[in-house]
Amino acid sequence: MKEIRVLPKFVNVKNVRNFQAMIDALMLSAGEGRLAAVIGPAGRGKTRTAQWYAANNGCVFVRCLSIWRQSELGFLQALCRELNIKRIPHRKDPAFIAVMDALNLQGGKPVFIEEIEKLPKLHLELVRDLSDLSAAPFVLVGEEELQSHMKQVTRIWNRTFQQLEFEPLGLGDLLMYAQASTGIEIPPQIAEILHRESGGCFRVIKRDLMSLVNIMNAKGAEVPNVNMVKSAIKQGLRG
Amino acid sequence: MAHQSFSKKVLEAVEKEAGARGGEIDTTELSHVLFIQTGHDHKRMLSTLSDLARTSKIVRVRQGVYSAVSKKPAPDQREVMWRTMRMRKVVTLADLQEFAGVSKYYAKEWLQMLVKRGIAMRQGPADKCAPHSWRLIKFDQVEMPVDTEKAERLRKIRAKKKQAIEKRLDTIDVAVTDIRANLNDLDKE
Repeated sequence: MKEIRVLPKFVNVKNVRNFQAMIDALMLSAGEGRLAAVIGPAGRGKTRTAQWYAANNGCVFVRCLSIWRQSELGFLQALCRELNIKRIPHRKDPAFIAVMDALNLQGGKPVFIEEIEKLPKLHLELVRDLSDLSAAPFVLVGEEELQSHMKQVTRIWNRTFQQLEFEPLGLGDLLMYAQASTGIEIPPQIAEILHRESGGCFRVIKRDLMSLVNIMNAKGAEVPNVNMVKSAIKQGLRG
Repeated sequence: MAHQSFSKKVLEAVEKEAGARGGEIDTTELSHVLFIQTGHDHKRMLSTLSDLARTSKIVRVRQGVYSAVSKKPAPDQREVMWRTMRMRKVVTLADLQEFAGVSKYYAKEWLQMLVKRGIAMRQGPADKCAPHSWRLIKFDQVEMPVDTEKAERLRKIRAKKKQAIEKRLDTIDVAVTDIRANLNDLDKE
Protein backbone atom coordinates (compact mmCIF):
# COMPACT_ATOMS: atom_id res chain seq x y z
CA MET A 1 0.00 0.00 0.00
CA LYS A 2 1.23 3.49 -0.88
CA GLU A 3 2.12 5.63 2.11
CA ILE A 4 -0.31 8.49 2.71
CA ARG A 5 1.28 11.89 3.20
CA VAL A 6 -0.02 15.17 4.52
CA LEU A 7 1.08 17.76 1.99
CA PRO A 8 1.35 21.37 3.12
CA LYS A 9 -1.34 23.03 1.04
CA PHE A 10 -3.22 26.24 1.48
CA VAL A 11 -6.88 25.34 1.09
CA ASN A 12 -9.59 27.82 0.17
CA VAL A 13 -11.95 27.00 3.01
CA LYS A 14 -15.03 29.12 3.69
CA ASN A 15 -13.21 31.59 5.95
CA VAL A 16 -10.57 32.18 3.27
CA ARG A 17 -13.23 32.73 0.62
CA ASN A 18 -15.02 35.20 2.92
CA PHE A 19 -11.71 36.93 3.59
CA GLN A 20 -11.03 37.38 -0.12
CA ALA A 21 -14.55 38.65 -0.72
CA MET A 22 -14.08 41.13 2.15
CA ILE A 23 -10.82 42.46 0.68
CA ASP A 24 -12.44 42.75 -2.75
CA ALA A 25 -15.31 44.71 -1.24
CA LEU A 26 -12.86 46.92 0.67
CA MET A 27 -10.99 47.67 -2.53
CA LEU A 28 -14.18 48.90 -4.21
CA SER A 29 -14.06 52.14 -2.23
CA ALA A 30 -10.52 52.97 -3.29
CA GLY A 31 -9.40 56.56 -2.85
CA GLU A 32 -10.51 57.09 0.73
CA GLY A 33 -9.07 56.02 4.05
CA ARG A 34 -10.83 52.95 5.38
CA LEU A 35 -10.38 50.15 7.84
CA ALA A 36 -11.51 46.57 8.12
CA ALA A 37 -11.48 44.19 11.05
CA VAL A 38 -10.89 40.45 11.00
CA ILE A 39 -11.76 38.93 14.33
CA GLY A 40 -12.07 35.49 15.85
CA PRO A 41 -10.61 33.24 18.52
CA ALA A 42 -7.16 31.70 18.17
CA GLY A 43 -6.74 28.69 15.93
CA ARG A 44 -9.21 29.59 13.22
CA GLY A 45 -6.59 30.61 10.65
CA LYS A 46 -6.90 34.43 10.71
CA THR A 47 -3.19 35.12 10.81
CA ARG A 48 -2.30 32.42 8.33
CA THR A 49 -4.91 33.66 5.87
CA ALA A 50 -3.81 37.28 6.21
CA GLN A 51 -0.14 36.31 5.83
CA TRP A 52 -0.89 34.08 2.84
CA TYR A 53 -2.81 36.93 1.19
CA ALA A 54 -0.10 39.47 2.00
CA ALA A 55 2.69 37.23 0.71
CA ASN A 56 0.91 36.51 -2.54
CA ASN A 57 -0.21 40.06 -3.19
CA GLY A 58 2.81 42.05 -2.08
CA CYS A 59 1.06 43.60 0.92
CA VAL A 60 2.52 44.71 4.21
CA PHE A 61 1.88 42.63 7.32
CA VAL A 62 2.93 43.84 10.75
CA ARG A 63 2.45 41.98 14.01
CA CYS A 64 2.25 44.38 16.93
CA LEU A 65 4.64 43.82 19.82
CA SER A 66 3.90 44.69 23.43
CA ILE A 67 7.20 46.56 23.59
CA TRP A 68 5.65 49.28 21.40
CA ARG A 69 3.19 50.16 24.17
CA GLN A 70 5.33 53.02 25.43
CA SER A 71 5.95 54.73 22.14
CA GLU A 72 4.64 54.72 18.59
CA LEU A 73 8.16 54.88 17.17
CA GLY A 74 8.69 51.11 17.20
CA PHE A 75 5.42 50.60 15.38
CA LEU A 76 6.28 53.22 12.75
CA GLN A 77 9.75 51.79 12.29
CA ALA A 78 8.32 48.29 11.80
CA LEU A 79 6.00 49.72 9.14
CA CYS A 80 9.02 51.40 7.51
CA ARG A 81 10.87 48.07 7.45
CA GLU A 82 7.95 46.20 5.94
CA LEU A 83 7.44 48.95 3.38
CA ASN A 84 11.03 48.37 2.20
CA ILE A 85 12.33 51.73 3.39
CA LYS A 86 16.10 51.40 3.40
CA ARG A 87 17.02 54.21 5.81
CA ILE A 88 14.72 53.91 8.77
CA PRO A 89 14.26 57.23 10.62
CA HIS A 90 15.02 57.35 14.34
CA ARG A 91 12.35 59.90 15.23
CA LYS A 92 8.56 59.72 15.09
CA ASP A 93 7.83 62.58 12.68
CA PRO A 94 10.24 61.56 9.93
CA ALA A 95 9.19 57.90 10.38
CA PHE A 96 5.54 58.88 9.95
CA ILE A 97 6.34 60.84 6.79
CA ALA A 98 8.47 57.99 5.42
CA VAL A 99 5.58 55.56 5.99
CA MET A 100 3.15 57.98 4.31
CA ASP A 101 5.41 58.36 1.27
CA ALA A 102 5.84 54.60 0.96
CA LEU A 103 2.09 54.00 1.32
CA ASN A 104 1.41 56.51 -1.44
CA LEU A 105 3.69 54.56 -3.76
CA GLN A 106 2.10 51.24 -2.87
CA GLY A 107 -0.87 51.53 -5.22
CA GLY A 108 -3.58 51.24 -2.56
CA LYS A 109 -2.74 47.71 -1.46
CA PRO A 110 -4.14 46.74 1.94
CA VAL A 111 -1.90 46.89 4.99
CA PHE A 112 -2.43 44.14 7.59
CA ILE A 113 -1.87 44.92 11.25
CA GLU A 114 -2.15 42.08 13.72
CA GLU A 115 -2.92 42.29 17.43
CA ILE A 116 -3.19 46.07 17.65
CA GLU A 117 -5.58 45.53 20.58
CA LYS A 118 -2.45 44.89 22.69
CA LEU A 119 -1.42 48.51 22.20
CA PRO A 120 -2.94 51.73 23.54
CA LYS A 121 -5.64 53.54 21.56
CA LEU A 122 -3.12 56.10 20.39
CA HIS A 123 -1.77 53.50 17.97
CA LEU A 124 -5.25 53.09 16.53
CA GLU A 125 -5.42 56.84 16.00
CA LEU A 126 -2.08 56.61 14.23
CA VAL A 127 -3.49 53.94 11.91
CA ARG A 128 -6.50 56.16 11.22
CA ASP A 129 -4.23 59.10 10.35
CA LEU A 130 -2.13 56.96 8.04
CA SER A 131 -5.20 55.55 6.33
CA ASP A 132 -6.87 58.96 5.98
CA LEU A 133 -3.81 60.72 4.63
CA SER A 134 -2.62 57.99 2.28
CA ALA A 135 -6.04 56.46 1.38
CA ALA A 136 -4.50 53.03 1.96
CA PRO A 137 -6.89 50.45 3.44
CA PHE A 138 -5.79 49.00 6.78
CA VAL A 139 -7.00 45.57 7.82
CA LEU A 140 -6.77 44.94 11.56
CA VAL A 141 -6.53 41.30 12.57
CA GLY A 142 -7.11 40.20 16.13
CA GLU A 143 -9.13 38.31 18.69
CA GLU A 144 -12.56 39.31 19.98
CA GLU A 145 -11.20 42.23 22.07
CA LEU A 146 -10.22 44.01 18.86
CA GLN A 147 -13.83 44.89 18.12
CA SER A 148 -14.46 46.54 21.49
CA HIS A 149 -11.06 48.25 21.26
CA MET A 150 -12.04 49.76 17.91
CA LYS A 151 -15.57 50.63 19.03
CA GLN A 152 -14.20 52.73 21.88
CA VAL A 153 -12.86 55.22 19.38
CA THR A 154 -15.82 56.48 17.33
CA ARG A 155 -13.58 57.96 14.66
CA ILE A 156 -12.09 54.50 14.09
CA TRP A 157 -15.36 52.62 14.14
CA ASN A 158 -16.88 55.09 11.63
CA ARG A 159 -14.18 54.27 9.16
CA THR A 160 -14.47 50.52 9.55
CA PHE A 161 -16.10 49.54 6.27
CA GLN A 162 -15.85 45.79 6.63
CA GLN A 163 -15.80 43.32 9.45
CA LEU A 164 -15.28 39.60 9.15
CA GLU A 165 -15.55 37.06 11.91
CA PHE A 166 -13.64 33.83 11.38
CA GLU A 167 -16.09 31.05 12.08
CA PRO A 168 -15.28 27.56 13.30
CA LEU A 169 -14.34 25.30 10.41
CA GLY A 170 -17.35 23.45 9.05
CA LEU A 171 -17.63 19.78 8.22
CA GLY A 172 -17.41 20.60 4.52
CA ASP A 173 -14.20 22.56 5.11
CA LEU A 174 -12.73 19.62 7.02
CA LEU A 175 -13.52 17.21 4.18
CA MET A 176 -12.13 19.67 1.65
CA TYR A 177 -8.92 20.15 3.64
CA ALA A 178 -8.44 16.40 4.17
CA GLN A 179 -8.96 15.71 0.49
CA ALA A 180 -6.62 18.48 -0.67
CA SER A 181 -3.79 17.77 1.76
CA THR A 182 -3.86 13.98 2.00
CA GLY A 183 -5.81 12.89 -1.05
CA ILE A 184 -8.00 10.60 1.05
CA GLU A 185 -11.77 10.68 1.15
CA ILE A 186 -12.70 10.56 4.82
CA PRO A 187 -16.02 8.78 5.47
CA PRO A 188 -18.66 11.23 6.77
CA GLN A 189 -19.03 9.58 10.21
CA ILE A 190 -15.23 9.77 10.76
CA ALA A 191 -15.17 13.39 9.60
CA GLU A 192 -17.99 14.14 11.99
CA ILE A 193 -16.03 12.75 14.96
CA LEU A 194 -12.93 14.75 13.97
CA HIS A 195 -15.04 17.84 13.54
CA ARG A 196 -16.90 17.46 16.82
CA GLU A 197 -13.74 16.88 18.83
CA SER A 198 -11.88 19.81 17.27
CA GLY A 199 -14.68 22.32 17.85
CA GLY A 200 -13.90 23.75 14.42
CA CYS A 201 -10.37 24.75 15.41
CA PHE A 202 -8.14 24.54 12.35
CA ARG A 203 -4.95 23.78 14.31
CA VAL A 204 -6.59 20.86 16.15
CA ILE A 205 -8.04 19.49 12.90
CA LYS A 206 -4.62 19.64 11.26
CA ARG A 207 -2.94 17.93 14.21
CA ASP A 208 -5.57 15.18 14.47
CA LEU A 209 -5.50 14.59 10.74
CA MET A 210 -1.73 14.13 10.85
CA SER A 211 -2.05 11.63 13.70
CA LEU A 212 -4.79 9.82 11.81
CA VAL A 213 -2.62 9.55 8.70
CA ASN A 214 0.26 8.19 10.82
CA ILE A 215 -2.01 5.55 12.30
CA MET A 216 -3.39 4.64 8.86
CA ASN A 217 0.15 4.27 7.50
CA ALA A 218 1.20 2.14 10.45
CA LYS A 219 -1.79 -0.16 9.97
CA GLY A 220 -1.59 -0.15 6.20
CA ALA A 221 -5.19 1.04 5.97
CA GLU A 222 -6.52 3.01 3.04
CA VAL A 223 -9.72 4.11 4.77
CA PRO A 224 -9.82 5.23 8.42
CA ASN A 225 -12.22 3.64 10.90
CA VAL A 226 -13.74 4.87 14.16
CA ASN A 227 -11.05 3.28 16.36
CA MET A 228 -8.28 4.90 14.38
CA VAL A 229 -9.82 8.34 14.61
CA LYS A 230 -10.40 7.93 18.36
CA SER A 231 -6.74 6.96 18.85
CA ALA A 232 -5.63 9.93 16.75
CA ILE A 233 -7.70 12.32 18.87
CA LYS A 234 -6.41 10.74 22.08
CA GLN A 235 -2.80 11.11 20.90
CA GLY A 236 -3.39 14.77 20.21
CA LEU A 237 -4.86 15.38 23.65
CA ARG A 238 -1.96 13.63 25.35
CA GLY A 239 0.58 15.62 23.39
CA MET B 1 -19.70 15.88 -19.03
CA ALA B 2 -22.86 17.72 -20.01
CA HIS B 3 -22.73 19.61 -16.69
CA GLN B 4 -19.07 20.45 -17.26
CA SER B 5 -19.83 22.10 -20.57
CA PHE B 6 -22.77 23.98 -19.02
CA SER B 7 -20.47 25.16 -16.24
CA LYS B 8 -17.98 26.37 -18.84
CA LYS B 9 -20.79 28.15 -20.70
CA VAL B 10 -21.87 29.91 -17.49
CA LEU B 11 -18.28 30.86 -16.63
CA GLU B 12 -17.65 32.28 -20.09
CA ALA B 13 -20.92 34.22 -19.97
CA VAL B 14 -20.04 35.74 -16.58
CA GLU B 15 -16.56 36.68 -17.78
CA LYS B 16 -17.84 38.26 -21.00
CA GLU B 17 -21.04 39.90 -19.82
CA ALA B 18 -19.78 41.16 -16.44
CA GLY B 19 -16.99 42.97 -18.28
CA ALA B 20 -19.54 44.67 -20.52
CA ARG B 21 -21.73 45.66 -17.56
CA GLY B 22 -19.21 47.44 -15.37
CA GLY B 23 -17.78 44.30 -13.77
CA GLU B 24 -20.97 42.75 -12.36
CA ILE B 25 -23.90 40.72 -13.63
CA ASP B 26 -27.03 39.59 -11.82
CA THR B 27 -28.64 36.19 -12.20
CA THR B 28 -31.67 37.51 -14.16
CA GLU B 29 -29.46 39.14 -16.78
CA LEU B 30 -27.31 36.03 -16.95
CA SER B 31 -30.40 33.92 -17.40
CA HIS B 32 -31.37 36.05 -20.44
CA VAL B 33 -27.87 35.87 -21.87
CA LEU B 34 -27.85 32.09 -21.60
CA PHE B 35 -31.38 31.83 -23.10
CA ILE B 36 -32.64 29.95 -20.08
CA GLN B 37 -36.32 29.17 -20.46
CA THR B 38 -37.40 26.93 -17.59
CA GLY B 39 -37.30 27.26 -13.84
CA HIS B 40 -35.40 23.99 -13.67
CA ASP B 41 -32.63 25.34 -15.92
CA HIS B 42 -32.53 28.57 -13.92
CA LYS B 43 -32.00 26.56 -10.73
CA ARG B 44 -29.27 24.61 -12.46
CA MET B 45 -27.60 27.87 -13.44
CA LEU B 46 -27.80 29.11 -9.83
CA SER B 47 -26.17 25.98 -8.45
CA THR B 48 -23.49 26.18 -11.15
CA LEU B 49 -22.83 29.78 -10.13
CA SER B 50 -22.50 28.70 -6.50
CA ASP B 51 -20.04 25.97 -7.49
CA LEU B 52 -17.99 28.40 -9.55
CA ALA B 53 -17.92 30.91 -6.69
CA ARG B 54 -16.91 28.16 -4.25
CA THR B 55 -13.97 27.20 -6.43
CA SER B 56 -12.98 30.90 -6.79
CA LYS B 57 -13.55 30.92 -10.55
CA ILE B 58 -16.02 33.79 -10.16
CA VAL B 59 -16.76 36.17 -7.29
CA ARG B 60 -20.11 36.53 -5.54
CA VAL B 61 -20.34 40.30 -5.01
CA ARG B 62 -23.65 40.12 -3.12
CA GLN B 63 -26.78 38.00 -3.25
CA GLY B 64 -27.62 37.25 -6.87
CA VAL B 65 -24.77 39.34 -8.27
CA TYR B 66 -21.52 37.89 -9.60
CA SER B 67 -18.35 39.17 -11.17
CA ALA B 68 -15.45 37.57 -12.99
CA VAL B 69 -12.17 36.93 -11.23
CA SER B 70 -9.56 39.39 -12.41
CA LYS B 71 -6.73 37.39 -13.92
CA LYS B 72 -3.56 38.65 -12.33
CA PRO B 73 -0.20 37.22 -13.33
CA ALA B 74 1.01 34.66 -10.81
CA PRO B 75 3.45 36.25 -8.33
CA ASP B 76 7.10 35.29 -8.46
CA GLN B 77 7.52 32.30 -6.14
CA ARG B 78 10.83 33.62 -4.80
CA GLU B 79 9.16 36.93 -3.95
CA VAL B 80 6.39 35.10 -2.10
CA MET B 81 8.95 33.02 -0.17
CA TRP B 82 10.91 36.16 0.72
CA ARG B 83 7.81 38.00 1.90
CA THR B 84 6.76 34.97 3.95
CA MET B 85 10.20 34.80 5.53
CA ARG B 86 10.12 38.49 6.43
CA MET B 87 6.61 38.29 7.80
CA ARG B 88 6.98 35.19 9.89
CA LYS B 89 10.69 35.57 10.81
CA VAL B 90 10.82 31.80 11.41
CA VAL B 91 9.64 29.41 8.71
CA THR B 92 9.60 25.70 8.01
CA LEU B 93 9.72 24.07 4.61
CA ALA B 94 6.01 23.34 4.97
CA ASP B 95 5.27 27.07 5.47
CA LEU B 96 6.99 27.98 2.21
CA GLN B 97 5.34 25.10 0.39
CA GLU B 98 1.96 26.22 1.65
CA PHE B 99 2.38 29.94 1.04
CA ALA B 100 4.29 29.94 -2.25
CA GLY B 101 3.15 26.61 -3.67
CA VAL B 102 6.76 25.54 -4.29
CA SER B 103 8.24 22.06 -3.99
CA LYS B 104 10.05 20.96 -0.85
CA TYR B 105 13.37 20.79 -2.71
CA TYR B 106 13.06 24.26 -4.20
CA ALA B 107 12.16 25.74 -0.81
CA LYS B 108 15.13 23.96 0.79
CA GLU B 109 17.55 25.13 -1.91
CA TRP B 110 16.31 28.71 -1.54
CA LEU B 111 16.66 28.61 2.26
CA GLN B 112 20.15 27.16 1.96
CA MET B 113 21.05 30.12 -0.23
CA LEU B 114 19.82 32.47 2.54
CA VAL B 115 21.94 30.60 5.09
CA LYS B 116 25.01 30.87 2.84
CA ARG B 117 24.49 34.62 2.56
CA GLY B 118 24.13 35.03 6.33
CA ILE B 119 20.51 36.19 6.05
CA ALA B 120 18.96 33.22 7.81
CA MET B 121 20.07 30.39 10.05
CA ARG B 122 18.86 26.83 10.24
CA GLN B 123 17.81 25.60 13.64
CA GLY B 124 17.08 22.13 14.82
CA PRO B 125 13.78 21.36 16.49
CA ALA B 126 13.44 20.88 20.23
CA ASP B 127 11.31 17.82 19.59
CA LYS B 128 13.01 15.11 17.51
CA CYS B 129 9.86 14.53 15.44
CA ALA B 130 9.31 18.20 14.60
CA PRO B 131 10.68 19.68 11.38
CA HIS B 132 13.70 21.98 11.14
CA SER B 133 13.08 25.69 10.87
CA TRP B 134 14.93 28.66 9.39
CA ARG B 135 15.17 31.93 11.30
CA LEU B 136 15.67 35.33 9.71
CA ILE B 137 18.72 36.92 11.31
CA LYS B 138 19.32 39.91 9.05
CA PHE B 139 16.29 42.09 9.70
CA ASP B 140 17.59 45.10 7.78
CA GLN B 141 17.74 43.09 4.54
CA VAL B 142 14.99 44.78 2.53
CA GLU B 143 15.60 43.60 -1.01
CA MET B 144 15.00 40.03 -2.05
CA PRO B 145 18.32 38.19 -2.27
CA VAL B 146 18.91 36.79 -5.73
CA ASP B 147 20.61 33.44 -6.13
CA THR B 148 23.38 34.62 -8.48
CA GLU B 149 25.29 31.34 -8.09
CA LYS B 150 22.32 29.35 -9.32
CA ALA B 151 21.71 31.79 -12.15
CA GLU B 152 25.36 31.47 -13.17
CA ARG B 153 25.12 27.68 -13.00
CA LEU B 154 22.00 27.73 -15.19
CA ARG B 155 23.70 30.12 -17.63
CA LYS B 156 26.63 27.71 -17.91
CA ILE B 157 24.30 24.75 -18.50
CA ARG B 158 22.47 26.70 -21.22
CA ALA B 159 25.77 27.71 -22.86
CA LYS B 160 26.94 24.08 -22.78
CA LYS B 161 23.68 22.90 -24.35
CA LYS B 162 23.95 25.59 -27.04
CA GLN B 163 27.50 24.52 -27.80
CA ALA B 164 26.45 20.87 -28.11
CA ILE B 165 23.60 21.76 -30.47
CA GLU B 166 25.90 23.95 -32.58
CA LYS B 167 28.41 21.07 -32.76
CA ARG B 168 25.69 18.71 -33.95
CA LEU B 169 24.46 21.28 -36.48
CA ASP B 170 28.03 21.60 -37.81
CA THR B 171 28.20 17.80 -38.19
CA ILE B 172 24.88 17.85 -40.04
CA ASP B 173 26.17 20.68 -42.25
CA VAL B 174 29.26 18.67 -43.16
CA ALA B 175 27.13 15.58 -43.87
CA VAL B 176 24.73 17.57 -46.08
CA THR B 177 27.67 19.07 -48.03
CA ASP B 178 29.07 15.56 -48.52
CA ILE B 179 25.72 14.28 -49.77
CA ARG B 180 25.39 17.24 -52.17
CA ALA B 181 28.91 16.56 -53.49
CA ASN B 182 28.00 12.89 -53.99
CA LEU B 183 24.81 13.91 -55.81
CA ASN B 184 26.79 16.22 -58.09
CA ASP B 185 29.25 13.40 -58.78
CA LEU B 186 26.31 11.15 -59.72
CA ASP B 187 25.03 13.83 -62.15
CA LYS B 188 28.46 14.06 -63.80
CA GLU B 189 28.66 10.30 -64.21
